[in-house]
Amino acid sequence: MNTKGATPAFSAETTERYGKPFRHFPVAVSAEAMAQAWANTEDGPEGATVLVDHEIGPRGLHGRLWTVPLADSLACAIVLRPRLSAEEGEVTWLLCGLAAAQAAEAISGRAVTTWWPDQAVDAETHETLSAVRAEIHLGPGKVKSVVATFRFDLVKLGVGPDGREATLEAVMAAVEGLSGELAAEGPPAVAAAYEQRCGLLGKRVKLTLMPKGETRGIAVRVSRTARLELESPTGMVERIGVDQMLTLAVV
Amino acid sequence: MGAAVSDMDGAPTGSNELGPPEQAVREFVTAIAWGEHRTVWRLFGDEARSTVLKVASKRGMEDDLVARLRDGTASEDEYDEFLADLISGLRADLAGNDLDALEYETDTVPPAPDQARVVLNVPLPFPLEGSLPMGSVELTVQDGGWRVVRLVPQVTK
Repeated sequence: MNTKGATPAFSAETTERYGKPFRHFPVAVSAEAMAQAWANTEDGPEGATVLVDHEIGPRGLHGRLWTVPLADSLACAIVLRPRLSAEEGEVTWLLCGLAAAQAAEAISGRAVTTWWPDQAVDAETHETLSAVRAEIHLGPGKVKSVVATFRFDLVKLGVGPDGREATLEAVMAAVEGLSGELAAEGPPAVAAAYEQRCGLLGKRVKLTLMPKGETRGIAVRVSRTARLELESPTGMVERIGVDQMLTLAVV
Repeated sequence: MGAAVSDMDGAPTGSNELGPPEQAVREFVTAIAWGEHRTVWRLFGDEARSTVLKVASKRGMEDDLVARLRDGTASEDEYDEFLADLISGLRADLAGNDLDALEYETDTVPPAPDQARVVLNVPLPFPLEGSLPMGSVELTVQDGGWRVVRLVPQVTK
């Protein structure tokens, strides 16, 4: 209990928000780090949500920095406990992307598409509206927990800082809905929904890969293991995993 | 199974006219970059195909499959898998270079009659000027067109 009347920067009480356990930090390394700690050391339940006003290290896929000013961002992370095999865990990247797109669309009223693997973008301008990350923790042969991190650009969404609460509510609702869909219908349903909304499909893309090299082709599918399938003009198909992708450009 | 992949044994892309060697190399590099596996195989000359299959055999490919690939009687799936590996190897040879910015320069003196050598140059980043060679492609005339004999990446000596 804080006896001085102010919320300590690096601790937070667990409350409830939109029916889920909730912690709000004025300052933290990242929403993801706080949610991971909750999930791993305190057995944070499905849906446990962390909101951070000021992230010190807002990093996404491969450590990519979120450069939108903090005052114009919403940063939150949600603990998921999907019943998936270790091989199916990557589908949670698709769940995150889809949830971000659904929330962004609900808030902005504009058409929003997923942009493999970690973004939701305006369907017309391709401006990045949200970046996501799925940190997957494996147990013996299965997924133990996933921390789904979301960062939204509130200005580009058209709601500004005042829209933070509504965006949080929208993303929590989207995650809950999609988690239910994943549990009921399995990874293929989520992959199909993601694919349907993916703005990248049909485009000629060039990817630089980890640890080195590059590849190009037409993006034709997203698999249930979250791999982007590229097809060459002569029909060669390459499957690129989320962890392999360093940069992606439409050419 | 066993369906011949006829287009793989045809003439090089375009007409049978012998164009500039650098044009053939540009097509070859573009095909590698875009994963046009059948185009790459079509641009390979007999010697290059033979070399690639020997390497595959040494690395454990079954002799029957090697023979089918050599004779053009392998199935589509077999070709696709084999050529996907080939593309990966060729991409590894070219890795680290901006393939869109390559400059192609044909040696003025050919190594032998009906042969050519095209040097692949990478422009130096600003503020440096000029370019550096990152490799070369040796070509030979076959079936009225330029075919690749080998890709020689520049490596540290």
